[in-house]
Order: sequence, then structure tokens, then C-alpha cells
Amino acid sequence: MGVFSLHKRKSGSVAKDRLKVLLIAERIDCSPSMLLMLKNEMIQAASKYIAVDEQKVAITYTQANERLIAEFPLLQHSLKKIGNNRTNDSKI
Amino acid sequence: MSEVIVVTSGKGGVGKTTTTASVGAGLARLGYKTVLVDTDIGLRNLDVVMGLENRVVYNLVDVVEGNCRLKQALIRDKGNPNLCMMPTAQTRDKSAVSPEQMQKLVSQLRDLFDYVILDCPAGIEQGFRNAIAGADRALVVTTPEVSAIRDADRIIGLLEAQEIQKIDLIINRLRMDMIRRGDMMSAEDVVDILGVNLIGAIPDDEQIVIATNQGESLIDKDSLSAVAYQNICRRICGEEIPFLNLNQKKGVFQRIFRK
Repeated sequence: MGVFSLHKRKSGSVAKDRLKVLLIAERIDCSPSMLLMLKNEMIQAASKYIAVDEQKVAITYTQANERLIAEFPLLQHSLKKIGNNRTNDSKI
Repeated sequence: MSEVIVVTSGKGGVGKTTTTASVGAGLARLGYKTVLVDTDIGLRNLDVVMGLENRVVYNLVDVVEGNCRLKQALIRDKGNPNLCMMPTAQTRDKSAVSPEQMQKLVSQLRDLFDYVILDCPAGIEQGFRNAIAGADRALVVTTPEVSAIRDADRIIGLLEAQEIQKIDLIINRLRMDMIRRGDMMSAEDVVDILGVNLIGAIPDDEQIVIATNQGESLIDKDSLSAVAYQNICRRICGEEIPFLNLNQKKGVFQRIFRK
């Protein structure tokens, strides 16, 4: 986020990102800035233990079952290639 | 089977009344007996948008209070015999009517019309609660702006809490030049944010101001927004119509060769 950033983001894109954070925050009764801090802290915490693709981390709110879900795409080079045939998710 | 549709938004000034009038006119043109009900007690506008302000004698509050028969409060549209309008009171406020009374009125209107469209006031208070009582489905109107979308999200939440099953989105005042430059959110952006089915996208159009100035219906005018509203009406009736390319300039030749 340099002062001399040549590629300034368009306002439409800024508005969309602001709204997405705002609407999730309002649904879970948390301020937008706290929600962003939560996301950053989660990324930092996860990165201490596993190789996370930080740019692609996503937080989703599912209204139907009232869940906040965080997805951490893993960096490819760290994944052990054990057979790709398994279809069940592993959950802890 | 009659259908009762509430046109709401949360935010004021995004185009609920224009949408009510245009969708009403469009459905009437398709042959359906349609009534438009202004529920914005104290700040009525459906009458003036439709050019019927000189024909108002009785209104919704008169019907609810038993001062007149229901049919006496119905005003037939100038251009469209299938279309009627029920104005609301100007010198009362939203406490003059209760949700139960609205529900009773709406069920009486169901017997007389194929479509009952309720023009909801802005806000989330009594006026909103009155307008949604008895509605089968909702058209949520928004513009591609931060405040409007935020309010629309809240309204959608309240509609879902009221168990209104069918909620569709209309995005109004799209400016394609700004969207191309990235200075306005696109229809796709808005749908992505709100997560509700899109039933219509209306471009910002001078013809809307002109039609309202004259108290005339937009639906017959030669403009992209008129076609967009016509398409909304057909989708309400269950037809699948592809969305207009709003980037086109509406010229004579395009009108001839485009449906």
C-alpha cells in the first residue's frame, strides 16, 4: 500500500469490498474492522504451522446454518502427494 | 390465482414508486387485471407519478375505516383499462392502519385482481410492516450504491424473517459509462453482494423523469428502461427472458432489428 502506488484501485471495486465486509459484520454483530482483524490474525496463526496461500484465504458466512467458515488454500509445494482418490473430507 | 407483490427497498428514492407504476402498467398491458396500492401514508406519490392526482376522492384509510366502499377508492388508469390504483391518505400518518387491516384489504383486492402491487414506503417501521402484511412475494429495489445496497440487505433479512418466500432484486439507475470505467458497481457485483435472484436491471434514463413530469406511463415510451420494465413483467409471469445488453445505444435501426 505505497503512497506512490501506480495502480490505484477503482472506486467500484473498493465499494464492493467494503460492502462485503460490512454486510458479514452486520450479520454476525461485529464491527467491520474487527472482522478484518479476525481474518488477519487467523492467517497469521495458521501461517505459523502450515504453508498457507495468504492471498486466497476466504471467510464466508452461511446464514442458513449460522456458520462463519474460513478457508485456507494451502501452498502447492508443501502438499504431500498421497493418492488423490479419496473423496471424503477429513475433519478434526 | 392472484398474486400480491410488495415493492420495497429500505432506502428512499431508489425507484420503488416508479417501479410500481411501470410494472403495474406492464402487467396490465399483458392483459392482467392489476391494482397498485400506495401504502406510504402521509407521503403519497403513486397518484402523482401516474398523473392521477386530480382523481383522488377516497383513499386506503377511508376504506379501512369504513368511510367508503372499497371500489369507491379505486381509480382507473387513464391509458390502461386493466389498471387501477388505490391512493393513500396524505393528512394521516402510518399509525392509521395496522398490518391486520392491510391483510384484510389485500385479501379483498385478491378477489378482484390478478395482481395486487403494494408500493412500500422507505424505512423499516410501521409503514414497511403494513405493506408486507399479506404479500406473497417481494421486489427489492436498489441502486448500485453503498447505502442503497446496505439498506437492501437489511430489508431482505426482514422479509426473510417475515417468511416471504419469493424475493427478487431490481437494480435501478445503472450507468454503463461509469460501470465501464470501474466507478460504479455492476449488476453482477450487486447480485454477488446481496445473494438474491435478479429479476431486472434498469439503466439510468432521462425518459423516466420526463414521463413522471407529465404523469405518463414509461412503459409505452421508446427507451431501454421501458423495455427493461416490460421484461421484468414477463419474468414475473414466469417467462425466461435474457437480460438486455445495456451497453447498446437505442437507435432507430436497433429498434427495428432487435426484438
